[in-house]
Amino acid sequence: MCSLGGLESLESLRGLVRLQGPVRRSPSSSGPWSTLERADFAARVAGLAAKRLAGWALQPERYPEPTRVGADAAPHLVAQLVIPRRASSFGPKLERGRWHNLGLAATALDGVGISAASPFSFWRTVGRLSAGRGFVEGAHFEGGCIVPAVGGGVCSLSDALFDLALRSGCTILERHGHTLAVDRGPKGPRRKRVDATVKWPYVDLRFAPARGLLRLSTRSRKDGLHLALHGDAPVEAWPVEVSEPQICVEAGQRYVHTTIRRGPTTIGRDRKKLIVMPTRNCDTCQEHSCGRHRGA
Amino acid sequence: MADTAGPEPEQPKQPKRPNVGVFVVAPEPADWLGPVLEVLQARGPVEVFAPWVLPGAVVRLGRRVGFVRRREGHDLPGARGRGWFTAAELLARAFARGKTARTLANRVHMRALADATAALLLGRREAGPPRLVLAPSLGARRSFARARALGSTCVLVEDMPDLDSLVDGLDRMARAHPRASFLRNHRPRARDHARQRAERWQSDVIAVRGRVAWQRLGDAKERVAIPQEPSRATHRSGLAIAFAGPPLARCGSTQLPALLEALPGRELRVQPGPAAEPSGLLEHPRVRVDRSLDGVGVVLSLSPLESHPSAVTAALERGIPVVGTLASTGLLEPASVRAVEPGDTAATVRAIEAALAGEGPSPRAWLPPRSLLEWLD
Repeated sequence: MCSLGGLESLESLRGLVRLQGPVRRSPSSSGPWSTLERADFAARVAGLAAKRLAGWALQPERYPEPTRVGADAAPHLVAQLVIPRRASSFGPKLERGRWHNLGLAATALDGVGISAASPFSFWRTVGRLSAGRGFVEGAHFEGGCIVPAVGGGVCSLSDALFDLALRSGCTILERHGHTLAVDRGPKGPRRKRVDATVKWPYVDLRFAPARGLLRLSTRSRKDGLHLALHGDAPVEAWPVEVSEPQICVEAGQRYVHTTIRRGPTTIGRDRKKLIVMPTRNCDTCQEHSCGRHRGA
Repeated sequence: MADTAGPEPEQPKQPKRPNVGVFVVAPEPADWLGPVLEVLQARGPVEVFAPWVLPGAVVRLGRRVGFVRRREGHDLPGARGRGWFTAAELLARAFARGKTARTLANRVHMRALADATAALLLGRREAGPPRLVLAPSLGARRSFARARALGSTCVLVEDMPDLDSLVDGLDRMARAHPRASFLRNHRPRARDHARQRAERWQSDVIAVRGRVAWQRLGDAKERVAIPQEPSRATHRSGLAIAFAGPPLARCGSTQLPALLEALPGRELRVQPGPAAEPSGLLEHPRVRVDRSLDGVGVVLSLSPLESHPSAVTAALERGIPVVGTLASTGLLEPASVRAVEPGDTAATVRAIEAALAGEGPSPRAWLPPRSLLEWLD
């Protein structure tokens, strides 16, 4: 959910979810949206959400309820990684919130069984990231600012899950890349890594193994959040490669292009808008008229 | 018309109200309620949200604690509660049609509903946000979310078995007894597992009632123990053997015939839970369904799964010896339990005979390193 919801999001969203129908104008090229455009955007998003939620109810074979399997059913380690716990530039409050959200979302993932008949769906498993379910404000990247948002920071989890799915040879049924990349000056864009963004409920991460059973496990430890995929049979880890970022300028805006490959197969091609490393956040920025500030 | 009102004057900020008192969520009668409320009552105002007993949603503790005390551990929940709650529960039982899985699902739904209602009430509390919110497992997620936003400390009472351990144990037993459909089918939903884990993540302190849970939770969160009644040790040896607990009645149906054969002349009293009548055993002439422990010489608690049968608590109060697995007798001090391995009939018979002969100690309550009382102080 990192880069959606901002004022430049409609263009990105169009590519992400294949919006039907004409877009009135490109908001990024002509300033802030009018009320009509905002309403149009909200209606489209609501339609997409309703369509996905209806799909959950009406197509249970496509979007099955997650099931839990025991550790005995999948004893072989297939892939693992750690989301490290480290100090960040978000500020202590947002970092605490991010870590709380990560841990809370990870509780829903532990022990989930994944098979061809029961594919993994991030939103079906984790559920809505609402304050009523215990999620708090975490760091959320929006329009060049780091702002507080309920459930902020959970993208780290979807990134990690996508990485695990790729390395374990899973078929990727649905994945959406982030729409923004951070330019860190002389260091260039962010390090090469795979990523997947999610937004409730229609921008999802779904994958399934071609055969056999996989079991997801999560453990929160002092050094970070440990994620692992175990299988019912030994599986060789697949090599995953992200191409060197190619930067190009389109209509005065810099974009970075990358390709994700697993073996000989191209999994996805990403095109991200390159922005400078944000230094503003709601703790330091005194600008309250932007609409993003929510009293952090 | 021109706007002449000008900018509205800034409203002075309301001073933040201090967090006072304790808010207890009690979605159903429980044996921990009485001792816990007694402990909390002495330390300040306590409000209890117990939809099964209260005329209003929330009332002061003083008028109700006696009622809670009388109800605990007796009969089935809701039997003497408010009419609407009894009707709802009877409806849920009719829907469950005697299936343990559905009974568990109904219980989880009921706790979730009480949790959501309690979360709403927390925000509208006249006395301001509570200092402490105490809620039971599978009925705490939304209350804790609200409580954390209000700055309250959250105490989770682990009064239900750990669903992950329960299912792992059922999986193992299902492999050993592939024809037992109950072992294959009795599974909570994945979201219930997630809910239980999420509540632990949200809580500041976890109160447990047995050493099994204490050991399993580790030291990631602060742990305290739920206060328990001390042992009165008034036992006189009897001729009957009580067999306790709903999962035990099911799982024990494979072990009980062998036990009956090895113990001629002994009567076996089965204490099933709701919706878990061991129909296959009732035809045996020496098996009787009876909740009373009068004249009972030994209480058996042989489940390989973590469980807390009320008969074990009753045995603790009356000093009746307990033979059982360590998982199902976690309320008791391990040294006071004649521990047997799950499924080991020969060892069980030896332990029963030793207990009936009066050898060994009476059951004693397990005393954890730190109780809720000490933590509150």
